[in-house]
Amino acid sequence: MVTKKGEAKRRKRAQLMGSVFLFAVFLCPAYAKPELPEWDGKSDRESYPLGGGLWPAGALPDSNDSLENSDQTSRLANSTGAENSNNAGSNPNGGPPPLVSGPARGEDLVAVSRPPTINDGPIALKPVVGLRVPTPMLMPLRIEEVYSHELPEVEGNLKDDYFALRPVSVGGTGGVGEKSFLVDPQQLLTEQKSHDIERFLEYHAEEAEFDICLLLFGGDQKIPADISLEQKHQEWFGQDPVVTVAYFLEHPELTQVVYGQQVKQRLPAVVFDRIFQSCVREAQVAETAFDQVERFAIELSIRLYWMAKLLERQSAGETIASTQESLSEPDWQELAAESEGAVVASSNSGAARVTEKLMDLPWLLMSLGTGFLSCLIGGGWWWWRRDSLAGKPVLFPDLEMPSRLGGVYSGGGYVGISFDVSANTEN
Amino acid sequence: MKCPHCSRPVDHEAETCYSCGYSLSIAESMFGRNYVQMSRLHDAAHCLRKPEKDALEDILDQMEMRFPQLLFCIYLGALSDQVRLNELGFWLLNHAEVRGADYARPNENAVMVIIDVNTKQAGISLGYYSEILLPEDEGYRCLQAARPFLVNAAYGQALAIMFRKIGRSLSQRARFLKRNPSELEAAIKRRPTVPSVNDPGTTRNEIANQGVSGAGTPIRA
Repeated sequence: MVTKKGEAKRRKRAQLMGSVFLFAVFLCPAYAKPELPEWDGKSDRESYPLGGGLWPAGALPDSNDSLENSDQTSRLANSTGAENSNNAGSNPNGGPPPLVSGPARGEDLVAVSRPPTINDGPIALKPVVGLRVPTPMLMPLRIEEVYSHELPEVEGNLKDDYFALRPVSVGGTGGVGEKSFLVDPQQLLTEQKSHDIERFLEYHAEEAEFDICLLLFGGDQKIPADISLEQKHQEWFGQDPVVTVAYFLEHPELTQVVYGQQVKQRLPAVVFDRIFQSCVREAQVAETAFDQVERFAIELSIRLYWMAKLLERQSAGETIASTQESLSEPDWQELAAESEGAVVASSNSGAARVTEKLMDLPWLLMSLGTGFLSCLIGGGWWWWRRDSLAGKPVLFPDLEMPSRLGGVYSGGGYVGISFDVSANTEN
Repeated sequence: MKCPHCSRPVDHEAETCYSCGYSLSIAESMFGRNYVQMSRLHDAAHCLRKPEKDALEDILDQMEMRFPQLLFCIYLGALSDQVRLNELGFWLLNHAEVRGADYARPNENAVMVIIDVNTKQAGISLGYYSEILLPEDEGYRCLQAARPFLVNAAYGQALAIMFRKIGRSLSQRARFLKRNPSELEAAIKRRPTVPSVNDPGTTRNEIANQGVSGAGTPIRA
């Protein structure tokens, strides 16, 4: 019986191992050799400048065309957008990616990529051809190049974009139809910078009294002659506290700032001059034209805050200085008042005030409390310690005592008690 | 100061008690004329355990360090009803030699605590010098502090408490004497004096009645 059982077990184990082996034999090739498309043509990598051996049959150029293609690629790299489009039409089959030989443009992508055609057979893998990535931009674009081309005159639709509608809805709730504080219909700024400046102007409008409406023009552009910013400001905002700024890119010194008649009449012109000068000076510190816009806006925001303060002081009856020199002078009255108060305070009750200020300090109170507590604890410890047995030796004066009752050392001095509870008697 | 036998006030120079005629010779007739030796902690009643003895020895060491002139000792005994503790203390201080006590601590500087576990009495016998330093009321306070432990037969704890109190009292007394050096002499002068027995017309009874203690108690026959 035992032999039969062992034999059956051995047989089962052999069957199991056989099935595992067969499973491995059938499965391993599937993992070891993934199915790949079969490529035709040459496998010689030297035939192609890039991607040799990787191009499928449908996408492979003829060997005769290789030289022609290389010429085309070099031309593609140096050509403009129009030329690229022509080349794309003349070379529908495309080819290996060109060598990067010069500054690349975004338009290269249009010229190089081959549009899918109906004539291509099912074998032709069109998307693979489209994978020809345009030449990377090796160097960052210079900012001047973005708007170096000539901008059109501000007329027609562009003029309407600037001046037809009121750009800012003062005190609005931010509805759909409202315009922003930054008017840049030509998109002269980059998207990020435009967004930054716009957010800043919105923040300024929330916090400050005077809003800023910034119209952005190109450096060579001019405001049409028939347009008056003063009139537009009056038309758009009326008596609202808004400052309209026409900023010319790269030329902050040409900026026109319109405050409105009411504000202009209340403050002397020198105040506005100072605002303008400081804003231009601040803008010119920046290296790029976009940063100049941002710095100009920030400085104008700060200056408008102080201008609002100035208007408040004027409303309170204070006279605002009307010259540069007087504006630059310190406010002697305020300084005198402050110093007078200090003198009075010091001569009045100097010690008391110093004490009062010191007592306001929490650390002083805490240290005093801690000191008091430590003194209390130390005093208690000393009080307990001075009579304890561990203290210093105590010496009594020597005395000659007479004897009594015949005792040499003791005369019977005694004090005693009884601790018998039942008797409850004490001696 | 009182007579150990009758507890009547005794003159500080009296050879015998004017009330009962008690003196050391009467005590010697009762306890013996020989001199005895006792240890600093003499537990004749065997009522202290080893840890308690060790703790008490430590306390006695501290007391001796603190008061280099004084001698501190303890006698625990189970005495008969006929023996009075004050008499025993009187005799012990005059006849016993404390083992290990240095020469600078004579018996007249002794503070001896005596406990009779049989009659349940406790007392402090004082030498001539120490009775000036530890007044009667202070000694009584020390005994009272230890009384709850004595009642519970916690003799070790009671003795510890008692000696701590004695040490505190002596410290206070030393501080007081330091501030008032003349107080010691005044205390000595305040001691009762006995009128001269040679004065004509003064009988023994009259002397006893005029005793400085003012007790006016009759003389025992």
